[in-house]
Amino acid sequence: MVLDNPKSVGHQYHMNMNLLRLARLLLQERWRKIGNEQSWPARLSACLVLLVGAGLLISTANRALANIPADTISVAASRLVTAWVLAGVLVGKDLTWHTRLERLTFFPLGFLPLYSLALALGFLSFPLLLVLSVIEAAFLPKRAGWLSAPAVLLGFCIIVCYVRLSVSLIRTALYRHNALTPIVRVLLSIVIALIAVALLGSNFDTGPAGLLPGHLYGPVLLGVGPLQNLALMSVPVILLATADYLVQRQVVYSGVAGPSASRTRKSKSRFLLFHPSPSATLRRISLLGWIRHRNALVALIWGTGYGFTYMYLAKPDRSIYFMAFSWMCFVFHAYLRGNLLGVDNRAVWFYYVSPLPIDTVIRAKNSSLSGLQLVMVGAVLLPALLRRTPGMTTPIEWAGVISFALCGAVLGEILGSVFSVLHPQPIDRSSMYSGGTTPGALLVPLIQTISLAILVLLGALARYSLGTLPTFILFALAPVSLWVIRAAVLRGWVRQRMWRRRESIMRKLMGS
Amino acid sequence: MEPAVIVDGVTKTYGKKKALNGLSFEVSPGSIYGLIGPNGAGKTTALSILSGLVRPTAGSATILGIDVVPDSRELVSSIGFCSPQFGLFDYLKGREILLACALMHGLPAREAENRARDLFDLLDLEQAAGHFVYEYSQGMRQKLGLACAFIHAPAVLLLDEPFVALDSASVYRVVLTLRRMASSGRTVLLSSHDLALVQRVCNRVGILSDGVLKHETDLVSLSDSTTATRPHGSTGESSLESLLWEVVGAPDIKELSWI
Repeated sequence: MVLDNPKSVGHQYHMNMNLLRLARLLLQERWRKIGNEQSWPARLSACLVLLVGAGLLISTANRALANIPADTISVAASRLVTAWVLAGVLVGKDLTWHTRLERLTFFPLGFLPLYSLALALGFLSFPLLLVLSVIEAAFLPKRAGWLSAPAVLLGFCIIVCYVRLSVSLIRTALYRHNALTPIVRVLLSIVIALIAVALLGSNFDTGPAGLLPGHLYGPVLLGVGPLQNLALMSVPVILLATADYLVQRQVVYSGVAGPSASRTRKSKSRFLLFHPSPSATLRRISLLGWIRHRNALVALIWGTGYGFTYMYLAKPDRSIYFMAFSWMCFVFHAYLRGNLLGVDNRAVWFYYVSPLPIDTVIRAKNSSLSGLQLVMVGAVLLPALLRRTPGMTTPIEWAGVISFALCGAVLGEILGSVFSVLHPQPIDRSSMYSGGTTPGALLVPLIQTISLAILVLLGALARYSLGTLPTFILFALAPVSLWVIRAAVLRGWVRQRMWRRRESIMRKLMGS
Repeated sequence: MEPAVIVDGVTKTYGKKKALNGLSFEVSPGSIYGLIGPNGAGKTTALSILSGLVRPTAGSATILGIDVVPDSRELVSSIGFCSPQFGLFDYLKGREILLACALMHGLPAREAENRARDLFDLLDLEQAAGHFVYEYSQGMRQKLGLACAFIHAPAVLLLDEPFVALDSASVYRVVLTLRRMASSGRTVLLSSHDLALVQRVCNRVGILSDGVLKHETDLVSLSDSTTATRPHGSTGESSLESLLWEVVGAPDIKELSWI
């Protein structure tokens, strides 16, 4: 038989057709999954809003880029790529579509074709295509030569691969290191060390930093030496792809479904039994859930460690730095805040048969997440409290930052409750990339950012035009008024909506 | 005596599909009632409606005189619900989930601990109690679900496929526990495809098909010698199985020519 001989043309054709069939199946499944989570008017309006946003961005970029020198574009591109990798590592969203390879090994195809298919399908992501269109259109007037357009496209694909593979390797080390053999673990550590050096290197403008893919993409965007730059950009991507292929192959065939579990039998149970009461139990269970959610934990560690270290070493002298870092802490968890029930997945029914009012679930999840965020904010403020920074010396500065932090947390709770009830979506915790595509994931941080920016502006205006006392009052009133809204309106609304929408919530989260 | 569970003309539609069509039945207190029927007959929907998880399109139901309506704390405190369709928290440990159930039902800490220990012992889950749920096998998840339904000693148990994936020793223990609960005045309403077990454990059964209760009978009156239509001359089915086939139609056996 022709099909029995792996080297025959017939066999290759059969395998290629199988890959195409599998790609079609995966696309169908994804389309239906999105359909289950969001109605078509919701999808259509989201697309329209994003397209309008992209159009505005293109026209702004066109004007802004007209007089910017090539070096500046290279440095900016390099730093953007670094931010993209960091965001991908911290929240698991690198804008590409991640198909779960362990689900595909069922099909009669080798791992290499499956891995390649997953990598290729990664590009079929709406946000990614939108970014590409913005880049292509924004650099249109600057192009020189016939190679520019395909070079920009190819360069973008290389950048996407670089980001995706870096994120994949780092997150595999964080999530699935228990699935790897010691030798592969050592090799992975070396690769991650190189990625870390590259990420740190993007802070420099010259020297070896000029060889980083992001930096090399700058000239490609301007049509300067496209072939040479693309070739140089490909080298690290090929190395990363080889490493990722080997690592993922081991992970997929290891059969390990999640991070290794500790075997302690009673320690966490005691945590629940300490001063037990029904609502306290729910809060503690929620806190345990967040701490055991790797994304929440990684963000907590990063936010605490980076926030403290930066403030301690950089010694900023203005309170706006503290506010900016506090904002960063809120944004890290924003996609979890906007989809509080997502991590519960198929267990969401449990809340409906528990004897506590249903809104207490959302409150418990919100308050425990706020607790984590305020720990991060505390770490940001600690150097100022220890008098290690020249800034934050006056009471009004402290009032501003504390008001900012409290407003951020309470506003996050209000927005989180609304979006979690209206737009829940399952987060598969056995996947390294699941979650983060709900409307809440985008809109909670956006509204939070705009509102907090307004607070900062109002604070500055009040301080310079009205004096210190009115500014104090403003800073005190802002979180209190949000608190009142939360207490007076939100509780009843959440309770009513969660009951009214219970079948829809369960259908979305349980997939049935 | 007032029935513990009253289901009155409950209808549930999903789009054009009628999952339940005017379902009515009653369950006496201290009895074990089994709902049987083919896949898609509406058993899970009926139990989900009774637990308050799903809103009926029409009709009503009461449990111990409490209306089955959303957000009824009284109802939730009176029932224990378990279904393999519904998941548990993957990243909590078995002991944590069980203790949380007990504490949320207002049990004191010591009592919660004692009951959790007893249930883990009963269901042979002691070794797994400290493991995350995502590490559990299907049978272990089912046992933990049952333990959560039992821990606050509810007056009415609603169990959807309680024996699915359980090993025979666990089935034996669960059956004994259910009988003990019924003899102490508690009511059990369960659905199952394991007809031999239903016949062993239930006092009364209702046969559901296409969302309609086609037949109801006391199992004591159902004699083992019942002879019913047997498909294609097969033998060995129990009296309940024969009754089921009589009510919903005997299954055809289709030949697969390519096997």
